[in-house]
Amino acid sequence: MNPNRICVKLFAAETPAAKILDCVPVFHKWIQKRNVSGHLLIDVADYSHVWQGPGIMLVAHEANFSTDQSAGRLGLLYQSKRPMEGDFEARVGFAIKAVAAACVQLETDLPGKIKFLGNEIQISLNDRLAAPSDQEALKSMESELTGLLAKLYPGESPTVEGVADGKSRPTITVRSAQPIDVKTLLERLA
Amino acid sequence: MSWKETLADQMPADWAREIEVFEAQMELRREGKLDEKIFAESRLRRGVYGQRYDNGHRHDGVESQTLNFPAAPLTKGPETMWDAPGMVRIKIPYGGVTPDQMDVMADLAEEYSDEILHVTTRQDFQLHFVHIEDTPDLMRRLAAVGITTREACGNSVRNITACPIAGVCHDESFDVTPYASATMKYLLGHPDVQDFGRKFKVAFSGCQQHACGLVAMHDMGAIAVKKTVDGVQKRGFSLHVGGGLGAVPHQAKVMEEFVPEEELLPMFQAVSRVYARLGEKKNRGRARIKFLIAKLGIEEFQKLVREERKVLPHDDRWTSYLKDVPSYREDAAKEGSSLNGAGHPEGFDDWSHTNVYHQRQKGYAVVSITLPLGDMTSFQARELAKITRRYVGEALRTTVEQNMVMRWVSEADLPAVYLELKRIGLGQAGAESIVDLTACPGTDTCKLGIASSRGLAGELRGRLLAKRAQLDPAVQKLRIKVSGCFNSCGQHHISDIGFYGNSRSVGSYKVPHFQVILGGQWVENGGAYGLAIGAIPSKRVPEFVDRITERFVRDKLPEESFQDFTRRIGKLELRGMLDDLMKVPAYEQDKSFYSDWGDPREFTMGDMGAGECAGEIVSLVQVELAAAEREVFEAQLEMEKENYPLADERAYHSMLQAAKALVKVQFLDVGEDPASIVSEFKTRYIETQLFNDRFAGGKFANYLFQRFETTPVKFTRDSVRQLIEEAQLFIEAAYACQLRLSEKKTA
Ligand code: SF4
Repeated sequence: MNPNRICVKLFAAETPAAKILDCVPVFHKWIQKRNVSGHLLIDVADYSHVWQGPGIMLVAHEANFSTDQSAGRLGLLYQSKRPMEGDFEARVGFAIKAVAAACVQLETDLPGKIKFLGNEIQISLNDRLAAPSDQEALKSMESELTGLLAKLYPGESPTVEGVADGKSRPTITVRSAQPIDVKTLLERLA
Repeated sequence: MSWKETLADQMPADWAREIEVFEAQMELRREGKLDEKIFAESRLRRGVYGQRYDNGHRHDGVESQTLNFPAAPLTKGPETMWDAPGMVRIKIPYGGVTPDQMDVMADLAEEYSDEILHVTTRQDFQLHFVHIEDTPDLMRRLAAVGITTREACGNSVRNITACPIAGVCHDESFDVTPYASATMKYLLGHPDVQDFGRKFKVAFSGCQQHACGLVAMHDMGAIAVKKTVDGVQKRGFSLHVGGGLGAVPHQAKVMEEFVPEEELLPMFQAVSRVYARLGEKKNRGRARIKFLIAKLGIEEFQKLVREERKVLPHDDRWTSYLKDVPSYREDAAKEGSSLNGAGHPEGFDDWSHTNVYHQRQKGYAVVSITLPLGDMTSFQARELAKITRRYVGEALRTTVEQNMVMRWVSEADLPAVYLELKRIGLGQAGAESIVDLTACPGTDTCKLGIASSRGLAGELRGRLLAKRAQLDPAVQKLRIKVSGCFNSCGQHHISDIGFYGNSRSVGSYKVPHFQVILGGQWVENGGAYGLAIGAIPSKRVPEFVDRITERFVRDKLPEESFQDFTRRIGKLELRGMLDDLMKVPAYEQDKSFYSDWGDPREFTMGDMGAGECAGEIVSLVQVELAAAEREVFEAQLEMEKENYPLADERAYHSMLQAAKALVKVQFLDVGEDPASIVSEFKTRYIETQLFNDRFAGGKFANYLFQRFETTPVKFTRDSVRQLIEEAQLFIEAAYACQLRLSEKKTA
């Protein structure tokens, strides 16, 4: 299994002081300064009027970054859109790295207003041709990501919870008991 | 496996072929073998649209940045970078969409777009930020559930809209749905609608007095009418032509008071032919049919259409669908039964007051689902599909007010449906009221946008929702519609309070403004347009909305409508209400006026690009010659795959196609039969020597004639290669001939 498109979400810690609209000027500044490496930043889309939607979205050529509020939980979602390099593990690793770096940057640009969790990652396969929404996809995800998860959470056994309902994207949520911040998560991927 | 292989047998063969053709055109364009203008028109006709910043430049608030798209300098149209994200418009005839189709669109929004499904003011869906390389698979996945994007954009017949409550309405003459559907099928890809100078919008309405179909603002529209002819009641339509919003709004004119149902399609076809023949082609600002009718006068236009109707070659499809019309019905999933005093959950009464319409059929209701700015998430779309299946089966439609309706809800189920919608954030009350604003994409994604229509609409919506309960009932009923520029995609002309974006210079700065339009009429199919009062800075619009609504409540006469109120107090007085709001504080005093709603960048007009609303003006003969070229390219591919018979067939067909393209310049009804194409081509181009080249004479035409006269019995690589080469020469000669003729015409 090697889907072309992958989504990774890192969750915000409980009740951030920041409003999602605070991300509008921040994302515009990122475009000005071109400071998301490996991505051609294009525009900012405001979906803050949509219930539990993408909120504010930074649109890049390679992927969208959005202040996703699905299932009522705020986080930063990375939605890859162009074919990615490497095997599945490399692709997921790349996506986690991209979103974690953006989270660190957001924490810096909205100081004290938002914090992201490093010990919970939601990974979805966004390619129904390569990965239909079934148990098999979940099993493959789990088995193919063993090495990556060991690198992210050394010495721990994170729980992996999967959902595949036949329609929505097959998704696993990885949780480790030991709280870490996103900066640490990013360093572990270096 | 690819989507192409996976879905091969799940769509009509001609749809599959059309998508393959588009893919081949993409390949030709990538290889530089297809002109960018022609490719742009082809892609627009497939619903693949450009988006803001696709020229590779974006002003970041400080300076204009170059967006270095990886495939640069490859373009997909003039000044349109190949891999810049674009929009795909999904045509939904009369807004009718099934739960299975919703599921697929939700998947597509997630995989190729931004997880948002956007409903437009013409009952389409739009997906934004889509990469062109993903479009063929996107089209295949839609085609597999019965949706085509063909002719969703470009100079073609766009989506055909109709009342979302057709068939269940108390006031309609009859259900227009089967007629709208038949018209869509008939005109889709019809040769007579391929040579328009601009887009062409068609609408159906079940009655004259209500708004739903908005026939008066369409290029061509039909209103259901019943008439007694020789003692028998007959179904028919009053036909309206030449309406349109845009910078110069026109009300449609009645062309025929009554056209019996069997004459509907031929009359539409005759109108199309007259428009294609006489409509403006060069100056796209005057190319809509409304300008032709204004020039000729409705009587002359009517005469030409009637004459054209008389000479139209008969087509069985004009009436073949009529046998199924009497039995056409939507099946309800449940028995209709009344609410009968069942418990009302919190919020239900308010919602039910604004969002429920009791159907003509006892025990059933239509539920409006308000979508903020026409948007819903893929999750909401999928959940809505589930709710639809559970309660009504299939009956879901989009509306021109960027909402959706669920029809055939048993009244007893209304509280449960309300709770289900509320659970997924779609239970907002206030459908078709002041809090249910309409907005075009504006500067968010449209290349022509001047000011942020969605930003403004979002701001107004937030403010009005917060005080909705305190608003006077007369104010609650008003409608606000916003367009990002004068092109009126947000339909500001037909709302009580309308705005369209423009800009004003203050010192060396530009300030986003909105022109205020008051007193447009929504009822009677958008029966009257509003008055332009003056332009105010974008940031002052909320203050103006408060001011005009308060004044309306204070000064309106009993039972007076907003239209009557604005006409009574007059333009001068209304203008006086704007005077102080028109002032813009100096930049140093208040910088907020110098940026737009929802966009902190300093306002600029520098991001505007050439619009694709109308498509490129490319003549039919150019489009068809390009199609011939594409076919000969496909012949080469088949030859490489050693499919020699198919390669031969494609090469031969490409010559026929090129010959047909030339014949159609003089004779539109040549048809598809090879014998008549060849014979007409001989008469019109060989015997007249029009095809003859100064050096080669008519030599290249012989390649076509030889292949027409002798079908090969054996196919070898060599024989096929030779035919492909001949076909290429023939197409080149056809291009040269077309060029000579057009030069002669200009001279
Ligand atoms: S009204 Fe103007 S800004 Fe709005 S979609 Fe139409 S062309 Fe674009």
